[in-house]
Amino acid sequence: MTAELGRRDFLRLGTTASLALGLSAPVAGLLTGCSSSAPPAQGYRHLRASDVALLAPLAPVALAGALPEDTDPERPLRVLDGLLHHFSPGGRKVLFQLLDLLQLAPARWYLTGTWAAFGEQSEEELKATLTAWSRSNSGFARVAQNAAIKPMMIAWYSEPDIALKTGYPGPPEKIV
Amino acid sequence: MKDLSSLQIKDIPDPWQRGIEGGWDVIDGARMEQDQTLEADVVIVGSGAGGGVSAEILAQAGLKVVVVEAGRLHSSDEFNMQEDRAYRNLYQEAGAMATADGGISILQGRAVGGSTVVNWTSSFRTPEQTLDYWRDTFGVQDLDRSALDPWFARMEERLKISTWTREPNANNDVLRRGCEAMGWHWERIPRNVSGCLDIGYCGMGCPVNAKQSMLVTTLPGALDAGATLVHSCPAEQLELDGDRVRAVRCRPLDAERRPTGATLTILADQVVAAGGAIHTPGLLLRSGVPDPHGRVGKRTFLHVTSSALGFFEQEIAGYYGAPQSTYSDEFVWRDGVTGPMGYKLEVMPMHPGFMAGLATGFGQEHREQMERLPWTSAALGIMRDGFHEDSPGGEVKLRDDGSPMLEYPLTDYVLDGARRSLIAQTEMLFAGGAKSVRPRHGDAREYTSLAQAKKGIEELRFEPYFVTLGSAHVMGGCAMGSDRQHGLVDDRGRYHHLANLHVFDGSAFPTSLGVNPQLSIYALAARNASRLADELTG
Repeated sequence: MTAELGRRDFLRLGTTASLALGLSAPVAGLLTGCSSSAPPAQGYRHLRASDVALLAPLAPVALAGALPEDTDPERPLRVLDGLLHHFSPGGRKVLFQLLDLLQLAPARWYLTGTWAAFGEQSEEELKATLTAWSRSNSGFARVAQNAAIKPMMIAWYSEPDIALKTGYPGPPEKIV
Repeated sequence: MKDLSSLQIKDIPDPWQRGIEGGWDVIDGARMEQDQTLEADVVIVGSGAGGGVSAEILAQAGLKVVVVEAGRLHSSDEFNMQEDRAYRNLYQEAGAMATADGGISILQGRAVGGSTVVNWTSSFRTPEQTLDYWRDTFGVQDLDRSALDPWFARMEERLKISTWTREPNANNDVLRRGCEAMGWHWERIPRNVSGCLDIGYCGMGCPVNAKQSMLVTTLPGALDAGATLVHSCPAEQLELDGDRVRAVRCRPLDAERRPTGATLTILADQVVAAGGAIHTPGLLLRSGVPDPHGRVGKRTFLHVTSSALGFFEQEIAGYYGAPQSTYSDEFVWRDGVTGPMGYKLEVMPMHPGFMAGLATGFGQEHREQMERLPWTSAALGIMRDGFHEDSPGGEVKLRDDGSPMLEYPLTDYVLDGARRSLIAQTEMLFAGGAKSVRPRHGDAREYTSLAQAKKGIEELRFEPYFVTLGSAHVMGGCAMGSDRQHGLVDDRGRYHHLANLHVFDGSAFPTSLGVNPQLSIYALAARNASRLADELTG
């Protein structure tokens, strides 16, 4: 029930939430003038400067305890960028639409419960934000969080050196 | 601690290197910069379970076969058992595919050999209950077990399928122990392997070519018999001419998966669609094939899967050993074929990247689960969809750019199955010795007793996006059936509304199966391709 009410609320934002990730034409319209068609950020193949700004503050919170001390803070984003390189263009577009949506304060408020941009929140505040977001009464908000941070977490732990920090001894050695 | 990291795997011949040097006709679409036309007796779109089997049978019958595959060619020399490389090279959307609303994550292969390169080798014959339901409900003729058993036997022999007799790994042994303690059915799984080292990397491309995927069996067989394989070359459209398909038009992709700009046109007498149950309906929709009752892409099924993590005191090391070697059918048919949703219990392999997807939450909560990976078992409830009016499955549609996506509304019927299957998994894990269990649900906690877990699960909201669901089996969308109101192909895979289009993959299934689908696809493709070969050469 709540999820359904949430959806109707969301429709009032001027977009369609019927497909959390298939955010199609109406969202594209809403985002006119936004960064959807922006080029990749310096050093990235797909993530745009706006995505890097959005995700960079989230990475150390989502991956708390999983970043070795001397980790380059942008490495989780570059790893995600590498994963996105193997998405279909349609799959990347869907993720970018979600990230674009999270740039908009009203959408951010609806989804995460906070107006402030992630970059303006302290790590503690971001932790509270992600926690509240993950417990949202709106199923749509929950699936959006998964879509926004899970690929980065999967890609992170798929890195051979990071994988070994879970107690996993690693695969056999293939010698060609 | 179990540690295979010092094991060296060497001196494994890569059949593709040898085959290509020996003259196999393998064309890399990435190198195709000029428009080109090929001609064939039969063009097969897709090189997975359906396409691979069809290619070998048709080529060995003396027909000129061209197989066109959207994925790239990756073979054993590249299979280094690292998740980063495997997911990016071998899976749709680098392993991060999902239904259109993100409600169900989907693992599906994207490579020469399709999902057979990355599946976990479980090989079951189609249950009689499923075949009977297809006959009684959809008028699927000539497809009972006595008709299909010779084809199962043939493919079991071809792909060296036999019941795994070695000790299950600790992860699968949890299922055995748990089911025994509960008094539930359990059995060992038949696997398509030969010379298996029991190391556990089926999902990343078998490094020793023990798994009898299409990559090391039927595709080499087809190429030896003179077939042509074009990879990195998605089929964009079927070109229609009256009641026939005249050609398949393809757009090759470079190594970065960008269009090279060239067009490959494959002219063929017969066309086999075998791109799997998302891409076959996608191709048909893009092509505007005749579909008077609007059935293309409808009733697409997923074996929607719930899962639970069990944490143990003893080491499980679920990353090592044959990934699936035990299963339980206690609940698949127990409440009747058309009753509340039935589910099969299995376990899944546990590598760190995969576990990162399974572990719930973020930050410390997530990390705390990750650090217990060596002591974690992961159970699965594979729910049989499509056998009830409240389980109509999903629908493949096209995005603006023509790529297919799957909408799959989660009905209360499916969500009830998720709840019940999570309770069963929790019972099994505790009975198997787990000290705590975490059902995969956004609001679930880690429960330290069965009573606590049952109470906890009863209190959870079973609504879309709250319970975490997945799938590794996509089926349907081009259903078999003599009734043309509902069916698109006949029991031989022939498309009702075009004279020379055949659907030889899992998209022809009118419902899900209740078992991991590969052997069902192999057997049906073998039968239908053999009949087509007889027809064309007779």
